[in-house]
Amino acid sequence: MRGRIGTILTLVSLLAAPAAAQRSTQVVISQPADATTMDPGRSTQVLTVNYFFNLYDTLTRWDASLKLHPALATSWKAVNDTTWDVTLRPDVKFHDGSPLTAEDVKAVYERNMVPGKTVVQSGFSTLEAVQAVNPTTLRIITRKPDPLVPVRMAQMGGSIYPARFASEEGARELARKPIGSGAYKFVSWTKDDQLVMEANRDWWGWNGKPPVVDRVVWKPIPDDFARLSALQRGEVDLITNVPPDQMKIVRTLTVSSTRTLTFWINTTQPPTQDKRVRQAMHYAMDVNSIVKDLYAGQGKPFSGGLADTDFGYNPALKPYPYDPPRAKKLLADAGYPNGIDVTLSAGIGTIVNDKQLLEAIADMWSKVGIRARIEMMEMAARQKMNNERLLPPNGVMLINPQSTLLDADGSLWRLFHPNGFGGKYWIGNQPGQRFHDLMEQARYTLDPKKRKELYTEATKIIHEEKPWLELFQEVVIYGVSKRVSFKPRPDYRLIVSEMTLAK
Amino acid sequence: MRRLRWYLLLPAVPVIVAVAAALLAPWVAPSSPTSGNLAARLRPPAWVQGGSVQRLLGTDLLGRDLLSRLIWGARISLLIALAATVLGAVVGSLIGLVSGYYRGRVDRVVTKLIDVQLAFPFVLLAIAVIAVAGASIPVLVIVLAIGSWVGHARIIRGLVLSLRERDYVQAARALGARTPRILFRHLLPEILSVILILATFDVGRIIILESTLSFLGLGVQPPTPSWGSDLRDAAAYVRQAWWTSVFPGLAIMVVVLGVNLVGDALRDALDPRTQSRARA
Repeated sequence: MRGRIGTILTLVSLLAAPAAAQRSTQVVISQPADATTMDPGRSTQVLTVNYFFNLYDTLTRWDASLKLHPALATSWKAVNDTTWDVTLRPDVKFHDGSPLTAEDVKAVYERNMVPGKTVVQSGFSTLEAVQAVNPTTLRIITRKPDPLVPVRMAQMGGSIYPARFASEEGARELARKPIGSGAYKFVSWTKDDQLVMEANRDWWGWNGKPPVVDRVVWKPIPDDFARLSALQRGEVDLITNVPPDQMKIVRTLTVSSTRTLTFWINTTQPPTQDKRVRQAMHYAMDVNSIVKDLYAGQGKPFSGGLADTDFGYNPALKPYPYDPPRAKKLLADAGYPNGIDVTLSAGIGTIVNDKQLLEAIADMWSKVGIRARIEMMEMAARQKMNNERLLPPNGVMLINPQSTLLDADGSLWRLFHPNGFGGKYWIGNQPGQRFHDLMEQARYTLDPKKRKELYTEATKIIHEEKPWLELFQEVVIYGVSKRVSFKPRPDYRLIVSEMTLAK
Repeated sequence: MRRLRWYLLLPAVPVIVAVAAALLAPWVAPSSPTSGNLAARLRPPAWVQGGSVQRLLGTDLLGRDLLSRLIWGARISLLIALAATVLGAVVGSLIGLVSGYYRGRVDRVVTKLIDVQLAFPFVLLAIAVIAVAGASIPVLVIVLAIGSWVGHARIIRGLVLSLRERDYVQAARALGARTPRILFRHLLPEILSVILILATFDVGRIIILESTLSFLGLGVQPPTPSWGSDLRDAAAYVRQAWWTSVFPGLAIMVVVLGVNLVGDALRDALDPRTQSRARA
């Protein structure tokens, strides 16, 4: 009902808009869920971070081809193995008019470095200290040699806001009324209805040109069908999460993404403790058919834990083929000739086609004797299970992680680190195990060739051990109206300043 | 009892078909309801171009035979509806009987309980219960019974309030009959037909409620087929594959309509009051 009233109000405001020009430079974006917060320290959820990357700047940033560029930082250099000096862009102002200085960056990074304060801490855990040398010079000191410092400055949580918001109380205010230095300024937010942003004409990134889009309206529509209809009616200009088999009915922009579709398995107890059982689960899944039939060909099967956009990706590892007899044999060899029972779960609405995917896999598994009970979980329950690592033994849960650093360290070692989301589900990540040692060593190796070698071996372990189930690398699918164009980004970020409008 | 006319039994046909399908599902369903072929998803019904006789009503989103889903879905949907109806009718009637017979404090408590329950939106209550207890068939049956006992209790209570003053009840009491005997030997037979009629209408209502809950994702869990959950899954595909939503929807509609019309016929046949009005 509220949605409908909101729709009517928008329509009325559109009709009542005095100048046609204003209407032509407004873009309405619809994602399946509203942002949960405006505080960049409190969420890494794919839909929510899209708001952050328009409101806030980071020190470095990836372009749409995932090349790293200067942003708030104009240059950076390693003084020695553990010290980096970063030069900040001068004369940058926050949306409230205050200047952005090294003190602000220091305050944000220091907040991120404290365990438990934010949800982005793991990405900043290699940092030892951050110092503001002068207003435009920042010094970053790492615990050990960390080759990823320039990349870490672009990751989630690297969004810069005024130092006063880094306190507990300040963060609460920031969560409701964000102030950044980004291309778009916050205007208003009605939860679950709409969030409005307005172009920041003083943004350094316009390079003297006026912004193409003056106003952005974010309007969450949870139901796939309703979202598609809104686009077709012209009520919105851009929608995310288009189901692949609905691609024909709207104009779409697609790109192979940095996200992979995988399943956690809690392997701490039999039967999934045995790697042969986990391999059997793989051989019993017809991933090619899933991609071709259920996802309209949009996806690329993978193995070894990394997307092909990540540093450390090992192209030599071929995904397991569909081989039910082999799966049966592996199960029998592991001592389960009569099959096994598992729970297969997913959060409702997080991933395109989630329920159908689970049912299809349960059906395929049933043919080799893997009996899966399907459980569709409310988002809050799923979030809790994930955050508190509560997946029960032999539980299998659908996720679609991405590397926060476009590097093995930002995915495999973010997720499988003993403190990571999957840290408790697999023995192979514990200190003393080969995988642990490889990942820790690679994290602090400066020589890219050597790092690559370490990751090549680590991904082989993932390929062989299968501590999680690996399906395919996702494709980002946007539905867009005729007037909007942009280059879709593999990292799922929707950045309005990169968009152009047809006349 | 007035004679049942044959045409009054016509609406019973879809109901009988659905019940037969539910009972004989393993033998009449052409293929498995939970096993499909992804490569053959969203195939149209046999009479549409691209359809085949093997899949009479086409296939669903996962390439499962829609007809088989409907047949097995009838089993789940009707089983739940029937169980919930019986549970609701038994509990509701008993409470109504006791409350109407004893009057006084018992009655006041029961009527308050009924008022409270009626003031509560059912779907909200169902969401709360299922969120706590988890979605499963027994929970679903209990939730639906909670939603239906009130109707029985209220009407039976009213009936008993007037019946208990009738001469034959007074006579039985004067002869020293114990309360259980009066309740179950004298009053219950008198109101049995009303209970039956109420229950028949309830079946239809509960099939819809079950579909509603399954549609909201609170009912039967996948991959178990149920008409409501099938309808929900198909909703987004109504443009590309109308059959995936039309047939489950049609099944719900025809069976509910049939049940209600049968209920009408039963009432006309069994209820002494409509009979006397008909004669007058």
